Amino acid sequence: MDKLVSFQVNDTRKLFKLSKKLNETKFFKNFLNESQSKLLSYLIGLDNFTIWGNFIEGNVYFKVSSTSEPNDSSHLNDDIDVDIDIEDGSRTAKRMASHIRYLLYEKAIDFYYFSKNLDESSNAIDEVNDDYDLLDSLNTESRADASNEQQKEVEKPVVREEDDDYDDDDDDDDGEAQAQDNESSKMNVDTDNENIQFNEENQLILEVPSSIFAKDEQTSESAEDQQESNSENLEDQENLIKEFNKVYHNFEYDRETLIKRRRLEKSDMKLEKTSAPENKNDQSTTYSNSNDSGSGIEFAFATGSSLKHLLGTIQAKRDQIPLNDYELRTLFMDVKKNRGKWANDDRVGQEELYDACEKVILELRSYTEHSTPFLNKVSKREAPNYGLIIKTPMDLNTVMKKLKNLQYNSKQEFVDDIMLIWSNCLLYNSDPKHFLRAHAIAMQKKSLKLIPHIPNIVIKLRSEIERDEEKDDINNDTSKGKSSKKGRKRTRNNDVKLEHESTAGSPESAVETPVEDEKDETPILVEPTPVPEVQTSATTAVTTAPVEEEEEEEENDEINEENNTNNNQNEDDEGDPELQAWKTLTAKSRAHYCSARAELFHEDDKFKLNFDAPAILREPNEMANFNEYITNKQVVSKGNLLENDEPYLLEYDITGGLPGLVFKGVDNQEQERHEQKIVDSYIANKMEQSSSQFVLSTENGLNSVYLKNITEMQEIRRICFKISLVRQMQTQQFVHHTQMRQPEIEKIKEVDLDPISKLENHEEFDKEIQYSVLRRNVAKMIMQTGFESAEPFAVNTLTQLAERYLSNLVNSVKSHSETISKNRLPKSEVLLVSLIENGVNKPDDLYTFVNERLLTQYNKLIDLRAKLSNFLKELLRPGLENFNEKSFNDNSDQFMTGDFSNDLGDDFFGFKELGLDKEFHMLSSSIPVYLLHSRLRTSYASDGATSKSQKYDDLKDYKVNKLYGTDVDKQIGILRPFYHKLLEKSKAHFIKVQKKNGLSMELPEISKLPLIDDEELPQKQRNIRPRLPPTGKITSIKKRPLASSFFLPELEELKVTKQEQNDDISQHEDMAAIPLMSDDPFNDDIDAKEIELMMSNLEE
Amino acid sequence: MSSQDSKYRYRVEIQQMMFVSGESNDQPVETTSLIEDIVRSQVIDILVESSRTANSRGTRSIAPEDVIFMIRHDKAKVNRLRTYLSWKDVRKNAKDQEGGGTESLIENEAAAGPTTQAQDSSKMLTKYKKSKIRLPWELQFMFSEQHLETPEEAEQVDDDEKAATLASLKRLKMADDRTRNMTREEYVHWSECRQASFTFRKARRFREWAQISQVCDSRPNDDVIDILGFLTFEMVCSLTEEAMEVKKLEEKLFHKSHKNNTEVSEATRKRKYLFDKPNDLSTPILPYHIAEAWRRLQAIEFRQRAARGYAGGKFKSKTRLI
Repeated sequence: MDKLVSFQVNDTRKLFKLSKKLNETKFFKNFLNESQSKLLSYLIGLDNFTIWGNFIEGNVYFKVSSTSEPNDSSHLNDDIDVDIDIEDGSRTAKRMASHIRYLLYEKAIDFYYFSKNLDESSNAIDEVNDDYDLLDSLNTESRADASNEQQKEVEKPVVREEDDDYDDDDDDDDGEAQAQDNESSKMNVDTDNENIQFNEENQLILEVPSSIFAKDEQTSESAEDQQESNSENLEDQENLIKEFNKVYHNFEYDRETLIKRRRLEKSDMKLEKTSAPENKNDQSTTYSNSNDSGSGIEFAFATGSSLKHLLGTIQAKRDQIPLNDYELRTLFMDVKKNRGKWANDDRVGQEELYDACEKVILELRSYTEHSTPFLNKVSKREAPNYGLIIKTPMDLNTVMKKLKNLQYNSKQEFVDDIMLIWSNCLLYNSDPKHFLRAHAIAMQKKSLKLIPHIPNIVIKLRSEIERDEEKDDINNDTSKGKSSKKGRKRTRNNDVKLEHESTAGSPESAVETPVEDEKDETPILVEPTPVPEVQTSATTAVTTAPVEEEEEEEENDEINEENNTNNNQNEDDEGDPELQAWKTLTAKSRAHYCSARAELFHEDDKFKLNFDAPAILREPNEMANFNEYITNKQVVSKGNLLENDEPYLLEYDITGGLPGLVFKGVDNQEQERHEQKIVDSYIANKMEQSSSQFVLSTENGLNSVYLKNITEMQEIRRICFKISLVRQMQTQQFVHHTQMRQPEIEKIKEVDLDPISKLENHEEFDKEIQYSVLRRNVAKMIMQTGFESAEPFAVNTLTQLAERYLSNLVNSVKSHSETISKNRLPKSEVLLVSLIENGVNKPDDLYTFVNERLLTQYNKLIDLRAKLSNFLKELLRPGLENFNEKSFNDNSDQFMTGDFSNDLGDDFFGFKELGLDKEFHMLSSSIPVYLLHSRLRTSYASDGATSKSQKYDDLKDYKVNKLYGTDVDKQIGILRPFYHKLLEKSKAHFIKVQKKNGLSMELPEISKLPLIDDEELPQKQRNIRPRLPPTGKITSIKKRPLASSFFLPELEELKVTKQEQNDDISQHEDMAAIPLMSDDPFNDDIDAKEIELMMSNLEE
Repeated sequence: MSSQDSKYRYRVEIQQMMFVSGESNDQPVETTSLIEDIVRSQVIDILVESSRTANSRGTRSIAPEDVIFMIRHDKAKVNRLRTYLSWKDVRKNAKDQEGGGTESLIENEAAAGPTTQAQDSSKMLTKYKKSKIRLPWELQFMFSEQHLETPEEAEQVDDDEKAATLASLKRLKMADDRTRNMTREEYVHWSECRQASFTFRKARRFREWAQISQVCDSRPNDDVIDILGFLTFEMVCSLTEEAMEVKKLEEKLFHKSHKNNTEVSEATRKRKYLFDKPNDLSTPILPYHIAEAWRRLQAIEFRQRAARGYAGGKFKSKTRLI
């Protein structure tokens, strides 16, 4: 890290050396624009440290002195350009200084390693060491320097400190401080003093001879240099591009770009509009010409010299050709077809020249960063006094029109016009700070870059060439045959020859014109003398488009404002060629993206989405772009930027990165599913409102009777199952547990057969739906008749029969009511007759049917059910005969129901698990016969264990609070006596336990004395669990003092209150919930005696 | 003649039965023979059908239920049959328990009809009456288990039974009307006629007559024969009643067409003499009356055709049981 010290301490000397080295590697060329880099190399070339120091501190006032004398016109032009680019003053200097600092600090670091890597990629192992070579050398050198200039070194830190101190101050103050420093340093260092001057603000005035720029230009004249610079130029661009991912840009630029782009497009439109009729005119004139002529010679003239010989032969043998003139002409038109739009046989060289010119203009126009102000003519409203100052106004569109009107005859004319635009602007906006100047300069630079691409061609008229050719023909006959065959190429060859001649003739001119780059393969025609025939008529074209000026005013104003506001920023930006390049290169695509995005919003209200706007669709090829962007390390490939007109920009692309959704198309199933979903939701909505008419009411009507009958039957079947089970147990030795399972009888539900038919667009009288409704009703009838189930086939057959019967009925009604006979029956009789014909002798039959078949059946069923359930009870209640009449003295129901285990307060026999309790409420705790089979117990225990564990899982976590003596009074009144008694018991118990353990027999505080629970009760006081002998005879249980508990009529109530209390005594309840079959020790919580006691207490 | 004799064996019984149903005249042999033929074909039909149902039940021998199943739609008839059978049961049991002691009782009962038995019913009788005939298509047999009937339950009268009693009351009323003007001797004769049966103590004859051995695989038990006896009696009665209806209608028509003649004759002959012919000389039921009655009884009701309406085609029908 100490190698970076020089950066840290802001050692200008070291930085100077570093920059020198960097300059040698042409590092700066990548990042500075032309003039800047030239200036820098001049600065470095001065090798004056003082100047450098001041420069780098931004304390320099540039003053360009045009020392070199302008040799020729082109030089002059260049000089002017540069002058404008590098403005006089401290401002540019400061800006440049900061930029170079930035380059040194930021960009150069990459470069140090980069250069090394490039140079020594072979010895990769040493790379790490070598990386710092540049810095190392710098350090050693600086050390050497330090020894030489110790005093300076001493002062340096001071300077830096002051710098730090003044960091917050204005530039001027800083500058002053610097100046003082510089003065002091100047005193110390006497070298090269003579060049250094200070202005009144103590800034170092740097006179920069403008010749350096010119010199550079001249150096670049040599072909090798030029090539090198060209390749370098490309490399520059690539380098620039390389850093594009680091370019900080905000979307604010986009607005500007977008507006400019729009204006460009608008002017394009305008151009086309104006040019279109002209073209037509052109065509018509040519046609009229040819039509007028009629003669073969003129016709040949029109089609051009390239076909001259062919035409000559045709002309000679005109009589032998069976075609008329018109046909011939069309033939020739066909031949001519595939030539460029600028092709003109009349004007030799026009195609090449105009192609190039058009390209240049388009390029300039599309350089929207700067081109916008120059697209159209300056209007009077914009600049009222423009006409006074500028005599020959010019703009890009005018040039374009002139081009289209074929008003240019040479490159020079075209170039003059182009340059005129910029010089006009610079002339009018003489204020050096005017924002348009920057644009103009930029455009100037751009055009200077582009102009060399235009071939230097002077358009000649065919007639002249022909004249020349004739001479040539004489000179070399051999080339004639070839050229005549190849037509157009021949003219080129001639051009080349001309060029050779001319270059041989005038060497100066060859020097003068910039050499074409390798792209331009066309040979250059050097024409020293401009062609006088064709006159520039710019004025005609200029007047064409003043119409839309007013419209543009507003926009112009807008832009002006923007430009003003962005002015400073722009100026700042201008210093950064990266950003510039980025802007220009991406302008079109940015504008494209932005305009696409802008369409999504309302035109008036920018904050509202326009829902009708077409969506930005994801294009599959953009994914490739995106991937390239991701995978490519250079992030912005040069292919993307340099070759593509609209480069791809990741940050603007909102759709490309999304992976394509695999869209398999909608197959039937998918569609079905979607539709089903929609319909379901819709139906669900409708369902809440009303059920469809296919759902019969279960409350009234025949349907309810049917349903009641069916449910009654189902109930009876359940009972029958139990009876049969009991019978099986009585007879069989072993009953498999599967036999004990209830057959599952589903309750009849009224399901909406076709909920879809509720939708408005559905036909309710659809045959299938109606059939299924009828089918369901038939099925109900079948069930009502007593079938537990029916084969679908049978149901279908019956349904079809019913269908036929009903249709017969309706048919007869129809035929009776539609009869043509005179004694037509009244409606009621028609109905009666139809009924009779279909087997219903009188309507009363229907009534009797319902009455007998349904209602009486229902009553019978109810009877039957009662009988059967009684029968079941009887079956489940053995040994009742043993009771004598006395047992019924108190009208107790218990003997009738066998409900004596109710006092046990639980599901003593696990009937709840069997589901029997629901059937017979009173049956819940009586003892069925089959349970008396002791061997069944095991199977039941295993059976019940699983269900029990599931049932009481959530209760297991419940921890029961122990009750203490003080809690007794908190209980509800009815239970208090019980607890009092329990307290007494527990006291006794406690003492007993203490005595047994030999501890003190004193009672603890009453609040700490826990009430004993059931398990803790002494064995005798616990409820004795009844044990059933294997014989199944329940007689033994009667020996218990059951008689005392029978006579408590309020037992049910008690039970309820007890359940209310089960939070407090939930221990009991918990135990109560555990059925008999569990392996847990069973303890009955409330003894019959206790209840009796409680009751007596209550009575008191 | 012997062959004919062997064919028609129930002329006397049929005559008695016809007398019971109101036909007082002496019937020609043709009429009784026709009735006998009809009855026999009906009996054979019943036997064939019920053996078919028995087969579909899985048994070869015909059970009483199978026969009753044939007439299940005629609830009144079924109920009468039921009572008949229950009384038969009572009689059988009584015979088993007390020897011939109940013989007179049954005579009595049979004479008095089902409703009049109450007058001299003893405790024993009521006790035996409990064994009620339960038919398998009754509601309670719809389910797999049946409860045991308690005595009180059995006392309860079914709605069906009520309806049956209504119908039987009607019949009794009719019988009452017929017997009202009878003299004592006549009534005795009438009640004797009521006992006429194809089967009672003539089981063998009946088997031969109906060719049961040819029709059925196994010999039907006595109950079945008894039921058939009951049914044949009913058949003859209904045929006779229908034929009398026919005859009455015919006479009505005849009277209408000869109204003028009769009026004149009636006007001229006002006085009645001792040896005059009886006023309305009632002719006996002739075979064509029986044939017409049979046709009427076999008429296909609409309800049987209803399902075939608008379908076309030939309508096949079985002979209906009367």
